[in-house]
Amino acid sequence: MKYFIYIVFFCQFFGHGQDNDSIPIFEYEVNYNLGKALVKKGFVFEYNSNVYYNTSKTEFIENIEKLTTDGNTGVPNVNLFSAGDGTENNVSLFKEKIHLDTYSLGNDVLLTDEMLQMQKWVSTGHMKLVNGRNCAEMVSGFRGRDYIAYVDLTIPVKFGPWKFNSFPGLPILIYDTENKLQWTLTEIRKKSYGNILNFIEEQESYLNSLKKMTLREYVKLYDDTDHGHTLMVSKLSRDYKRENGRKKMKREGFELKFEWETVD
Amino acid sequence: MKKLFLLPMLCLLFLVMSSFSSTEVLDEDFSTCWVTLTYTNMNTGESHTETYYSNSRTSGADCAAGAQALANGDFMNSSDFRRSPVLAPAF
Repeated sequence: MKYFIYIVFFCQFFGHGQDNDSIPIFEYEVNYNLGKALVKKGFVFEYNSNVYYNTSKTEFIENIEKLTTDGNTGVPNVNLFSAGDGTENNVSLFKEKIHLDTYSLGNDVLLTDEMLQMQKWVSTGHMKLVNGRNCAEMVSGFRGRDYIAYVDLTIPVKFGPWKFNSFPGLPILIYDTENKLQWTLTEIRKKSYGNILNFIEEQESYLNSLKKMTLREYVKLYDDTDHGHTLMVSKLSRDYKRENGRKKMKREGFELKFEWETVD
Repeated sequence: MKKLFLLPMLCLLFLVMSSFSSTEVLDEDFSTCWVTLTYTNMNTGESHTETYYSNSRTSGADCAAGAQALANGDFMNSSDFRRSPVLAPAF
């Protein structure tokens, strides 16, 4: 009887994913707290051995006016935003071992490519109920941050949002140990192949319209322009740009250290 | 005859030139215009603030106009601002 229930469950799940006309979309609530706290929705699905992840636009938790006055100093403060609406687009091409990503920097949204990084998730041996699902606690490090993931081992999905992969099941909750980044599974929906193909076509057309560079080139640009700040104000006098000898700003984004950089 | 013609011309020139005079009121106590620029990354929310100053602004209103020009991306009317190595002082 027990085996029969398992068989029915897995048949249902695989049927869910391999319906003639639909595939599952895993929807996440995305929270970043790297400066101005924000929330957005993330959607991830697999099609034709590729994993697609995209998000809705950014919604900042606090209302940010373009021009404000500091309550303490009385000094006017101008808020500048990098290009785009905060939408993220990621494609992991597993056959080609390439990952495509979009980054907003200064006045541009850029498309980068990089070697696909396969992660290693290690079980801590702890189990925890997360969002009503019994999950295994797993840990991994990726580009300077340590992550904890709660994975539902009963659902055979290997991928997750953003650049996460190589899970032994479906990640229900992923967060970094500094509590700055968090992805929480909220829903599993089915979308028709027609919708998926339309999305892929539109995304491809959008990605092709962007300025392209390698991730390494992007990281250099990010470091050299105070994370894009000087690109925003490049039309101003030269004093706006980095003065010689000025220290590079400490990285504060998702990725803090890259595989081509020497380990301290 | 020449004098008769020159006199009204000079008066006219005076009137034209005087129309160009500025009516801006200088604020004697106003010295440096401070503005902070906060740059926020739309994708990640990464944010940091830099302080800028201008010694060309003549009043609080002129300083506010410069900040507004910066906010509007009107860099033609805000290019007098320079990056400051120190934080803006509290007033």
